[in-house]
Amino acid sequence: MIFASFASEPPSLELSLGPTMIGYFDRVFNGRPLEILGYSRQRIPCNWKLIFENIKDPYHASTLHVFLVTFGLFRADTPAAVKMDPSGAHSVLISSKRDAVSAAETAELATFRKDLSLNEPELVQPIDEFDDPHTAVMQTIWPNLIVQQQVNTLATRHIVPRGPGQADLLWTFFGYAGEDPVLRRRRLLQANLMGPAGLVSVDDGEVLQQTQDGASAYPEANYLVEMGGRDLADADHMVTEVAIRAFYQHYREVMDL
Amino acid sequence: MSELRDEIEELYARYAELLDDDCDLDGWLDLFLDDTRYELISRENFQLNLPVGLIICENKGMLKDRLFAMRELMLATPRWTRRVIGNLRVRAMQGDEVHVRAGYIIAQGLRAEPLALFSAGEFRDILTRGDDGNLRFRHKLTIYDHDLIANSVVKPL
Repeated sequence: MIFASFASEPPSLELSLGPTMIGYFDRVFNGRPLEILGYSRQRIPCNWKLIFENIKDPYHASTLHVFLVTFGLFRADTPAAVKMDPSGAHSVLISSKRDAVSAAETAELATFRKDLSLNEPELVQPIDEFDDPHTAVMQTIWPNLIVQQQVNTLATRHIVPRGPGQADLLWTFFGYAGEDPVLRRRRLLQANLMGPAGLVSVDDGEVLQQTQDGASAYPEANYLVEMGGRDLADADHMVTEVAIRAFYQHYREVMDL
Repeated sequence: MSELRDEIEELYARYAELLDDDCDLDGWLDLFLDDTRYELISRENFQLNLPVGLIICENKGMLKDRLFAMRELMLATPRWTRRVIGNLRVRAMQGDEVHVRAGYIIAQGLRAEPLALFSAGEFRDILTRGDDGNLRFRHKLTIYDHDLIANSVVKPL
């Protein structure tokens, strides 16, 4: 992984990310040699910041991504955390396996679609590979990089703005060199959830386009939808937009707004 | 040979018609064998021999899962498609397998927007006969030429 900067004396990655964020970064990039598994490229007709917002907003997953909810990968009460660096520029969304008690509650709640099952259930079943119970860790690194572990998919998503109304999202899927073929197959299987045709990610691309269409229809107007207060503190749940607020605070500072 | 060619052309015409019509996707699924493999992969990944595709289905069950998700679970703006499949060529016959290559172009329309070219690429498919004697897809490999996707691929190509 190579970062480049136009600054004559850029700060080190450790300094730039801060101690919390570098921890999550190193969780995936832990020195094991990586192996590229493939690329996907999509042009999303929306402002680049919306793509970043999408990955800083944990709440939408429980309402938008019906696939995840239907097949038990995610709910709003999934044990979760939102963490930021002190500047608010970088953030990470973490969701973890539910404990046994809430899994029972889930079984009760999920009955309305219990008739549904996947022909290939491994599509949503994780193989444990990290020393923690996190099933998804989505890290946004200022200004335009996303590092994702979602179930067993590992990928970076690089946002390249193409003017104010569209941006390219460049996905790089990877695994570790020499890893267990069973884990490798699972990564490739679960790549079906991600990217321009992803069973989950299609929702994002489509809704981002709709959001941009909605906003650009009224160029003379400003609108603001707020959820859950105005503070910028880390949260231990998913019903928060604090990482988006922190991002815009940093953005306004950098852009002198 | 020309009877076989007629059969192959009919299969691809059905494939295009059923996907574009949108009303009988189960009929589309019937064009695949149970142990089929469906892959949609960029020219870039294909050339670099990288395994990630936009869609990789290891069997018909996974393809079924995808169609279900597409119809019931995905949020996607309604769109129409029209595909033209041509340049059909039988490349090889191996045992009961017919290796076919073809080119495709897909146009797409979104809401009130004008027509746009959505995808172009090639099929490198393997066909065999199902129990009823009809040709079906054993391996459907679609390689799209353009790497960059106009937002989303909702329907299989």
